Amino acid sequence: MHHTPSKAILTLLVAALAGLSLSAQVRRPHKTQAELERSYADKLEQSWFVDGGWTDDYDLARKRAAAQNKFIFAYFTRTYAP
Amino acid sequence: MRSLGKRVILFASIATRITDRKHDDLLRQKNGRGYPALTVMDAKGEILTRDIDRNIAGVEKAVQSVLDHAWLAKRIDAGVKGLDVEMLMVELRLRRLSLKQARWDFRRCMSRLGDASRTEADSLILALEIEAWRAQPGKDKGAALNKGCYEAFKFGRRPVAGSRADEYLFYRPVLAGAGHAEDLVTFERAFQIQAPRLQEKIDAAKTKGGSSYAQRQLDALLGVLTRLRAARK
Repeated sequence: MHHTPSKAILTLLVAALAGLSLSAQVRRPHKTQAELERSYADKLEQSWFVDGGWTDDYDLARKRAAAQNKFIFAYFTRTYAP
Repeated sequence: MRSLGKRVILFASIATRITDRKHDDLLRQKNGRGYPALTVMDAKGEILTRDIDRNIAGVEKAVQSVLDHAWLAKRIDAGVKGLDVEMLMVELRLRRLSLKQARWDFRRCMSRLGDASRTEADSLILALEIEAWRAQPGKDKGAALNKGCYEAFKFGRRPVAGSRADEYLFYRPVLAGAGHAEDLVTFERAFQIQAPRLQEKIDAAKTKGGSSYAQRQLDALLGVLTRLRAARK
């Protein structure tokens, strides 16, 4: 008889993925769009951004760089995680 | 940052996950590896340097190197000769060269480099080598990294002081390689550099009231040191 363990393996895989997905949800709760908007607004109010002369508008940064013949110093950050 | 703002346009790319926000995923579009990241771009948005060390000196050095590169490129385009050594140093600082190209250019310019430039160039090439060892697939990655860093350290090669390679990438594999090779002398020399750094992290974690991964690292290193010393007797 041809024995295939595929069903058992598939079951284990699905269970493992479900577990992973669950643990991911536990670790990082899903934020609503309103919460994300609020986090973004908070970031824009931080002193390094307000007082430092930064822009977060990519098109504007490139336009200014071209007009002033300067390079762009870019800081990549995010609002949804530390 | 204020003086920096006079020389460059300061742009903060803030990823938000807000649906349909323009350029929200710019880091990925620029093939960046992870947050936070610092880089210098030209007015078209082309990346000119990667992996800037996240400290004031690293930022200043990167910005200055970009300005130097533009100035040198203009002079070379104008037909000025004999700038290849200066260009090599700037391109190494900007990490714009592949490892193969960097080694080739370094050999070509070697006799015309002063002692300080030669040491700096070698350190910058070592950082490229570390990246190449780390990029090895699977099991080979750890072994190549440990062996490469261990041998580099033994031959007196060091990353640029205060650089990412110096602070995070180099000494751990050096110690692992020395431990693997049962090389007590090299292990002790590297340990003398790494132990105070780990202790600093442990102390910092203690003031915050937490435990530290550095403590486990230091304990493991002390274990290897004890074993190597016992084996020598």
